[in-house]
Amino acid sequence: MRARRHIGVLIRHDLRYTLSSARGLLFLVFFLLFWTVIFAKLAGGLGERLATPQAGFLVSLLFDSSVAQLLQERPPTLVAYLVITATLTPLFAMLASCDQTATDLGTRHIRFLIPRVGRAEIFVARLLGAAALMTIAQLLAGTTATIIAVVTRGEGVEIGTIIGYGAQVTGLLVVYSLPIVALMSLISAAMASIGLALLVGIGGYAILAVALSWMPLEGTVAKVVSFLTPSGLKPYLLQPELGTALATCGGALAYVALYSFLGWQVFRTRDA
Amino acid sequence: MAGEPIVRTERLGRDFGRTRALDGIDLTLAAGAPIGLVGPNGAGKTTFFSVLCGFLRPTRGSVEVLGRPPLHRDLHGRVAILPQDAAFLKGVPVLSQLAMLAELQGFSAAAARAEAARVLQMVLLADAAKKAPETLSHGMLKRIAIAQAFLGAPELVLLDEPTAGLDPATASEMKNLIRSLDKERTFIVSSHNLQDIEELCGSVVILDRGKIVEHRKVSELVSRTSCLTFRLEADAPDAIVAKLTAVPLVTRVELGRPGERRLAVHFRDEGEGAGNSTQIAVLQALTAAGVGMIEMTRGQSLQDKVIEMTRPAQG
Repeated sequence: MRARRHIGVLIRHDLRYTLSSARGLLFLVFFLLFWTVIFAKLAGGLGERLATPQAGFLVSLLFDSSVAQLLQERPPTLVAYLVITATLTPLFAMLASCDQTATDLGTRHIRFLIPRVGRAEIFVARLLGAAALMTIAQLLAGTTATIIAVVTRGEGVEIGTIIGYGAQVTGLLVVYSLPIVALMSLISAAMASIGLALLVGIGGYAILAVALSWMPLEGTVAKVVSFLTPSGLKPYLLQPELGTALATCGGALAYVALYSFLGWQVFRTRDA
Repeated sequence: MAGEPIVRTERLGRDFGRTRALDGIDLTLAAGAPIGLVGPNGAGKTTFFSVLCGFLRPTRGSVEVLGRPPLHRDLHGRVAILPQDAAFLKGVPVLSQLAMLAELQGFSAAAARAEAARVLQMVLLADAAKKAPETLSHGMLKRIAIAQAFLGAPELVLLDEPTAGLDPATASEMKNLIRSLDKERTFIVSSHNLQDIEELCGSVVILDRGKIVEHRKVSELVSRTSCLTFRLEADAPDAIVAKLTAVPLVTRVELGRPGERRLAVHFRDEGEGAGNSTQIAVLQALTAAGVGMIEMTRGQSLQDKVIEMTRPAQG
């Protein structure tokens, strides 16, 4: 009971701190600016243009034929939103969650907390605070995308269908961002510096992505290696079937469990 | 409360790589009058505080605070610390930060803000409530860090260098604050300012190179009657030791290290003015030897005692 209260206080304070800290503002400004531009394009009919047969060829080439198929079968504005967000979620999630325990450890602010709360409570609160920030941002963006999809819908398309798919896309993207947040709990505890955590997170992710794309891997090996990071789940996010989407959520939660456990082990054993 | 152990350690050790910061500390501290923790740089004072609060884990041995291991949840809010180098969050008003810490100690949101305002008032910084930490001076930040240690009603308060970086007037106010609260809680105060320790504390633990050199009442350490301490114009010649030892009742003569310009003369105080006659005889011997002095103190300060006890062995 007391632990839950401690975690609640820390999360509330953490979210308020986000609005006044440099890393919080960096994320919010970057996120808002980016989505303002993208939403302006989507409101201008970008989704519908991508759904045309001419664009379908290009989309198949750049992404996957399943994406082109999805653009035909589902509200194209939301599909475009899903594809863009799925690609950029690791970056945004890293920006939103690079702090977690880094400031606590780096500035030794944790020394004011430890006489009052347990280490586990601090770790869980920072993880949940970062996840809450990312979730709120995703919910706002998802809601905006759904509203745009409703406003720009073609004739005969039911509003209920769009809202239902909008909720599914938003939910999937929220779940997809959680493994990255959990990964940053590990990196921030290990680095004890926001800058280093961001550098290692983004740099490591980019290096791994480039290395994997250059490796001549095929078959099962390629599949296994692709799951080294949560990005391995991305192709499954873009499948139209609900069953696949739910399995993707399960996979994402497995990453969350693994990264959080490793993050806790690092944080637990660090000197404060 | 008096007499109950607030801290108990057995063969406590903490290493940093090959360096033994704490080495076999066996210590039992009772609740009551403030306890001083002193020693030269690198003696292990901050490490000892850090182990007591659970910031650092011991490498060897055991430690109990208020009968529990340092990170035990029963200790939350019962032990407070002024850490030496912890920072407040940038951009967040100090009142909000203190209120958050008070909430973590069990206060409701409204009561926490009132408690935060109360402790800010205690350290004379009520006007800084809405200011962000980065806009405050080092001394003001130190006082806010002291304020957070007084949130709620902790039974044990650990203060690491509470007056370092404060101007003399503010340092005096902080010492008065500690004195005004030392009946309600036990303080352990670490400081390089031994005058402060002597003024504030009932007993003192002297650490040197990770080991306990002494743990005694301050009154027992600071002999007021059977020692004369001199501050000299120049280092005294070695020959003065023999001349002073020849003075009746003088038992021991200590020369300061080269450059310290210090001399301590211990004698047997047999009462009935014997101390005064010894004092006169010592002064005459010094004058005869041509040793010029700046100041003479009857007794030995804690500072002199600590310097004497933690002086590295020569040769």
